[in-house]
Amino acid sequence: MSSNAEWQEGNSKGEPGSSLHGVTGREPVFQMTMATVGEQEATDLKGRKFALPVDSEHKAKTVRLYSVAAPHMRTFHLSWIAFMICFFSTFAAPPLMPVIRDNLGLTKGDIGNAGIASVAGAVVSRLLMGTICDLVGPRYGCAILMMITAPAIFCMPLVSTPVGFILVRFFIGFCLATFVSCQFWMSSMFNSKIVGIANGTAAGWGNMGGGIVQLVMPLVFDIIRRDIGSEKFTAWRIAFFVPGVLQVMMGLLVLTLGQDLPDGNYAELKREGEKVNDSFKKVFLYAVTNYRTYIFALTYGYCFGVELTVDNIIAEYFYDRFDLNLQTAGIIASTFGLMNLFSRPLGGVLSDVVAARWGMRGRLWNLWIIQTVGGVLCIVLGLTGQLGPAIAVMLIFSFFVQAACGATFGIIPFISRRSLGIISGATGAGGNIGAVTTQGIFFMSSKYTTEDGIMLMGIMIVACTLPVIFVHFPQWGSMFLPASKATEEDYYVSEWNKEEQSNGLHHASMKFAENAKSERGRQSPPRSKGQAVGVDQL
Amino acid sequence: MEAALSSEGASVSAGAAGSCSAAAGLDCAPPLPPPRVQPNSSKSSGQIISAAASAVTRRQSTVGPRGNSFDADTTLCTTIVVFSTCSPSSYASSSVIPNELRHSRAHLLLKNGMGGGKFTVMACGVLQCVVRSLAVAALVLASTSFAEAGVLFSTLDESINVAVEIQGQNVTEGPVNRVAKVGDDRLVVSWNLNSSLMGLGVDKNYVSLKLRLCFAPISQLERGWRKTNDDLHRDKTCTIVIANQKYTTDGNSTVWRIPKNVPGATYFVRAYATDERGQQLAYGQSTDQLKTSNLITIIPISGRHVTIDIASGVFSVFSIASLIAFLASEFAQTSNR
Repeated sequence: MSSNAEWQEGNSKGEPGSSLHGVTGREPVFQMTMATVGEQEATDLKGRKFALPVDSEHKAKTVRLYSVAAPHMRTFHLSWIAFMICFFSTFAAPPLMPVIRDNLGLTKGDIGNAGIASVAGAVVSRLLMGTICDLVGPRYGCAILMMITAPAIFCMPLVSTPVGFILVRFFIGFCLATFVSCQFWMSSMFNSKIVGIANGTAAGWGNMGGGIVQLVMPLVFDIIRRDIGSEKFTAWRIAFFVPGVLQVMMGLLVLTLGQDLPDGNYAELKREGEKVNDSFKKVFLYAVTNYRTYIFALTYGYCFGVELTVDNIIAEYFYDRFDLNLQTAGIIASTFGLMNLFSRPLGGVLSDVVAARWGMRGRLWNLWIIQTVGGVLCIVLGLTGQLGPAIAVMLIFSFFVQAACGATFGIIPFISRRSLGIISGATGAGGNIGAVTTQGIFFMSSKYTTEDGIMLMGIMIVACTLPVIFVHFPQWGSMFLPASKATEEDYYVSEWNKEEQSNGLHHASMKFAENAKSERGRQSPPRSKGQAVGVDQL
Repeated sequence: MEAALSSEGASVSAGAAGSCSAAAGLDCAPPLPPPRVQPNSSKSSGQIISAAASAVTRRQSTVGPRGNSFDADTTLCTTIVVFSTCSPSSYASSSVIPNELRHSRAHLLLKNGMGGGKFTVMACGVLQCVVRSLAVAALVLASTSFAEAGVLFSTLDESINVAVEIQGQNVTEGPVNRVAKVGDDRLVVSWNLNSSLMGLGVDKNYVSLKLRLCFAPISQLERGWRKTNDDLHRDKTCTIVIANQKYTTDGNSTVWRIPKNVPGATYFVRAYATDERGQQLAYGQSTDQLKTSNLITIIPISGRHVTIDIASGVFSVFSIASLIAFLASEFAQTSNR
């Protein structure tokens, strides 16, 4: 069935937003369309056997973390490490801020502006990266971005004014778009049934870079100061060569070891695209007119955006409020980011576990509860004046905030099937915009102390999570309202107008609607017109 | 005691952490052992916790000058010990997943995709472990007492006269600050007891005199990390140490070469007279009450070096050039075919 193959090949060239189809990767797949290729037959174009079991598109059906077999697992490790190093470079300045602020004579406003600049660039670059991946492939996209932003990192040792500092952080921040190439690459390599877990794990482990850097940079600074004997104001500059060199090395590794698709690179393959090109205007229109897009962009801004903000301020906060030395403040601050090792994937898993019992209503409650508890803990963190409890509260807070990120992407795939890519991209951009806004309001001027800023940020998290209450799916209900008589088909097919439906463009959405019936939860009887069409009857 | 606890805790936690990360991993663990009753492990970890808690409260915590990470070390040590409450058996606890979920679609999806529904079980086990250890950590660390409040600056007498000169420069009066360069210039700080207070016994408890370089208000603007606080334990105005001298009734002076790690700002000099325990008893400063007269502007180093600039340029060029070379060679390869 060619339309099946089209739908599964969702991220081939051409379809607008297709590059982000794998971002959430929770699109359920029909059992029978994932034709299993026997391991004897699974070879790439050069006739080499694949190390992992693959499907008919040669995408891997399982993830083996301990393997680096080409192409699938090698891709997994290359892309999450590349993303992690980009996070490392973007947040390399905050742990050294006590030294940098004295060297450059920065005021609180300068530091706040630099923090905003570091996450603002990625708003645009993330949106562009999807198109770049569509055109030249994720391997080139990732490597080119990393190696072009590396000179910005090497410019940091040359900075001597506040304006220079802000500009350099702005340009370094562009490399956060490797998130998109990472997710795109995974969805080219891993089958839809497991790409969600692969993507969630890679995203979580990549975000860990924001934690690792808080450990590493003060250590490197200390080694340079003690063992090489540099002055403080020189040592931090030398320390910046570490993220720069790492990024260049990783870019080269991606270029040499990476591979766009299981069968080879874009340039080497003859692309057989019998794709139906969707109209960008329509896809954009349906994304923009769906109110849920805006609600989730806002709420993601107050989980991922808060995570980015805290990455920027937390080391300095512990250094100043609790009189710690740089290394100790760095170690404590790093635990925030390191929780990503399991908290983001767990958030997604929790969403799935809750949905199995209560469906989409469960997912919405799950997200609301996790993010609101995160907000409350943020308020508590701002009010905690003792070091020990502050660390404990921060750890629990980090778990909830990062789990909320994972939980958000458990809901996104169900908002729209046609405009999934753009909605995912908008959500991601909303995360960065949330970071920009939060830092601008609470951490820029001396109007609020940092602890007051953290407390007010917590209040804002709780307030900005309330809109989840208003997300209503006619076929599943919302947090407080039950489902109406509408069905999943009504909802997803309504994205296509009569003319498009008569051309049969909506078939993929119909299949998606059938699979999405899982979001009803465990006990609801089928409500579709006539008999429920079982999976095995199609 | 501390070291023994932390090494034991660290080795236990290393084991636990190893199984933690294996448990959170995907498609890599062998089948889980059946759930074990854990009274033994919790009892031993309870003993560790109580021992750690008593060690923590016994320790005198002080807010020392920068570099004294007393409380932080204690905190980290206790945290390591607390995390050792995660025993591998918690992951095997099958009570976490209700039976109906085992056969759920999500569970089966994960199972088929991941080579084992054990992922969900492990995930919930990790969650349980995390929440438990964090709760214990919060309890233990809450018992960490914190520093007692310090002397209030407003209670101190200004009984010391302090004068500061830049060596080699003439003393100038006027609105413009005097300027000194780090590394090159030296400050000559001289102090003595206020002549009107001589012989009155005001200074009978003064044991030592601490000379500090302090930020003037103009350099504290928009910089909360240099804020003035009446509580001297929290005051951040005077963090740069010039000298610690023994107190003598005749006064003393010192020549201080400005070190290269002094930030560029406007300063004045303050002297604290302290008793044998280090408590401040009196002060003197080289400026007036409003801290606006007689200030010194210090010019810092930039921290930049020619070698760093050159290295920076070389690495940047290498990055761009190697990218272009790579792309060119791949383009040539594909166009040759």
